[in-house]
Amino acid sequence: MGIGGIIGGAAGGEAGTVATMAKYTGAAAVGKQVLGAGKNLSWVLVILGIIHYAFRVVSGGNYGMAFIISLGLFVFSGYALSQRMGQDSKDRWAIMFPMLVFVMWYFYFGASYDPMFLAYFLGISFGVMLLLGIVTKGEATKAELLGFLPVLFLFLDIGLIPFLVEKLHVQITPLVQGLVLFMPWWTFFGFLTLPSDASENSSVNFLVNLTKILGILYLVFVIVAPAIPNVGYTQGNLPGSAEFEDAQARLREKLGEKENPAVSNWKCLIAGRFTDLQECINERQTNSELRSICLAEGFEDGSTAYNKCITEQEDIRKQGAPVSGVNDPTIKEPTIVKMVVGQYFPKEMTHDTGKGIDYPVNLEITNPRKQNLTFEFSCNFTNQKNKKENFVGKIVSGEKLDFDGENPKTTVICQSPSDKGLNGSYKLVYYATIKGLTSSSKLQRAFIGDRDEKWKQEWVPKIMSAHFSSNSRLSQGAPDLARINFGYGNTIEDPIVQSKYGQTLSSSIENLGNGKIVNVESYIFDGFQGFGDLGGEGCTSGDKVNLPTSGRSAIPLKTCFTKTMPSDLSNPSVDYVLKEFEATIVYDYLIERSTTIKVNLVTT
Amino acid sequence: MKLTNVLIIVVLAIFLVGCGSSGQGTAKTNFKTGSGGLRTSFFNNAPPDKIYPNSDFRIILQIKNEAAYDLTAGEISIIGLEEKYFEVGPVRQVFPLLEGRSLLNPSGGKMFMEFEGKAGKLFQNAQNYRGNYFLKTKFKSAVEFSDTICLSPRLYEIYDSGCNPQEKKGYSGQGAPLAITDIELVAYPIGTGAKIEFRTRLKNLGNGMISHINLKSARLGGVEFQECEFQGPVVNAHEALLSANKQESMLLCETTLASSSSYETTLAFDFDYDYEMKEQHQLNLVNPNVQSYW
Repeated sequence: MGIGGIIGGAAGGEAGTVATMAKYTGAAAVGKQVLGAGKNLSWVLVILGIIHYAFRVVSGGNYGMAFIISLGLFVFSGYALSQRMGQDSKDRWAIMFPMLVFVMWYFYFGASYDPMFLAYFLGISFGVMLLLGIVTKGEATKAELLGFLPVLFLFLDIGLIPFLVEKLHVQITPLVQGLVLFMPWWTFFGFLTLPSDASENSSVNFLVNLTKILGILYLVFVIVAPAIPNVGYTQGNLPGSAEFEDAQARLREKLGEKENPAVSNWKCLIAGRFTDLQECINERQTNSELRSICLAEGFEDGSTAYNKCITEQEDIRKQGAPVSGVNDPTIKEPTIVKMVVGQYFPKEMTHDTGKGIDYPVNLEITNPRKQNLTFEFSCNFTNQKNKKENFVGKIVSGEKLDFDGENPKTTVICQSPSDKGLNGSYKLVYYATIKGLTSSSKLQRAFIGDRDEKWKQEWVPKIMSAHFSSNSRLSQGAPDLARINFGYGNTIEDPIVQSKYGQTLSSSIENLGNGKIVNVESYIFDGFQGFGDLGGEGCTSGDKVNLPTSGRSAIPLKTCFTKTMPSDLSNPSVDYVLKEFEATIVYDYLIERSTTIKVNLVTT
Repeated sequence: MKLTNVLIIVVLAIFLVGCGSSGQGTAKTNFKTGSGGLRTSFFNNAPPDKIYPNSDFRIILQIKNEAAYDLTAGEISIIGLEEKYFEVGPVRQVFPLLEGRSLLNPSGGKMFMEFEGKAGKLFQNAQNYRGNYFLKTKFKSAVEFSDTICLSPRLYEIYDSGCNPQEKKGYSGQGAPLAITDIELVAYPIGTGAKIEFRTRLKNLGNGMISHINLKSARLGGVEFQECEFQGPVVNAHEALLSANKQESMLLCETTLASSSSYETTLAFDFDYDYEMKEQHQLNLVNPNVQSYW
């Protein structure tokens, strides 16, 4: 049965379901009671879902608590679903069984993908489900299938798709990302389990049913749209809860600058812009992003400075879209730097003076290319009640450290001032500037010389299929903290280069991490020797790039043009020559990690 | 009769019949059937499935002529490898002649070609690089056609004591990728005789591409046709041009029959053509520090 069918089973045909329930329990009176209980639990789930969603958005870094609440709602949703089905205890068990199977697999067996284990585990699980179905003469089958619904919602809620984007580098469109992250899933589940006559008021009932239908369409779109690839590992590759929540928070932070695409869609529909809907959505998305940039820079909404900022940002965009690039799918280990607040971190403590308190965080570096990295640390305290009370802490573990290993780890300790006692709640922010990072990208092009149409008709489709399928026509680099994107050719995105036309080289630097590029020390392109004007100043090498004021914009580099290319490429001795170019940047990057702390002074 | 005697007779009979069949088969082997052409394959582990950075490797190619005609002016090129990852030399090699299948060489000519390769290093800490490339093979060859046909100036008259003419005949191939697949016979009565037109369809039944077909000779009863002309794109009346999308051509040949009754005679064509094959292959450069996942 497809998911639509399962949901349909739960939400569709409400009147029929009520009747079925009455038949199920054997008495209309009991059915009425069930309906009441179902209504109550579903409404409770709707409200709890909203609270949970708000908590997650507001709390930001409190991943553990959000996950625990998700788990609570997961159990609760199973109970609500069983109430919706009827009071029969065997139905409840039938619904709970798949949920139990999932929990066992995920928590007890560590989400193992080992094929042999899965064969046994799934075999036994389905065997038990089949047995339940036989014992109940098929009555439990529907309930068993419905039990997979809370599992699906748990995965959607705790951020499966953000994880796929960040960890497995699956290309999911921004629209789908937005649709997943801005949905309070448990609230929707609550709506889904409400009966059609959820209220005495017919308007409320209409709204509830409309929400269900829209929600189902939303869910179907979210599930069908992204292509989930095969996970090519044998076991233990699913993330822990913190990773799920962390990934989701980071992605929401990135998208948070823009209006939810679904909201943009609705507003454009309401505005009656049916003929240019996509254009309207793009406009709203851009405007909301510009607004967030200018507000983040401290300009007051509607002020002259704010309007000037908006105009400047629009001008930056009009200069042209930055050059595109993609992650290299063959590089599975990028350079990653994380500051992790460990479980021994003194989030809340009682102290006699509030002075000189040590706050340690773990610095975890994934440095697969063994780069020589220099770190400079600092930290800052801000009073939560009085934001003006802001002072720097002292890094007692060393303000400057060098690393060169593959997986170096250390503890960074921020000490509160010895002359200023902490009292109350503070936001503690750690800063780490990583100096001397390098990141490279590659780009392949096929040089065909000057060919006639017959040759091109025969060869170009073959070349495209062999060398430039999917995204490989764009430059590819490791998904490090920053990446240089570049394009070259008769047009910068056309991978087939003909000698009779001029060629353009264009590039930009893209910030892929959650921090800020604070300095681009140098950039250099390799492979462009003998390309005439591309060897000019600033084209294929340069240093000290001017950085834009807003941290998230791509940093454009100089665009150059040439009509020259080496003779072995302009007149290849075989049908075509494949050539790879490489670009490298050296840069400094600033990452931040904030957390809240609380100090209670001992009162005598 | 005793059972033993019966068994001996049966065994002897099988032995005799077996010997007889074998001799007959060899004598009648006809290589000029089917559409076999040049077959290429790689020698075991050359190239290897996995190539490690900065290592040497070899590509050993076996080429085998499964056509019934010699291949001449052969050339094999390796195209599309990025030199940073795989440096292969020489990228082009020639073979002047590769014999076709015949009674003296029933399996056809065969030879090995060796390309030396050196692997470069992977991009940064990539797990692997898959280098797709094309093996391009070019050669010239020929195809001959011969059949006995029934000719009648009055094709549609059924009261003829001679042979029975066929309006259209189909063929499965003459031992080469280029094949005559069907011949249509059209007769126009002229006086006591007739004008006969042969509409001969030629098709490429192989995987490669033919760009030119050259008619060398076209004979009816051992005599050259009065007129033969390729239809469609041509260089001249005896040389057809084939496009990538349409790998076939039509040849029209005409002659006049003086006889008023039907008779059997031979029809023969000889063609030259050039052939080009492009096969896509892949070399895999893998990081030795990464556990294999495919």
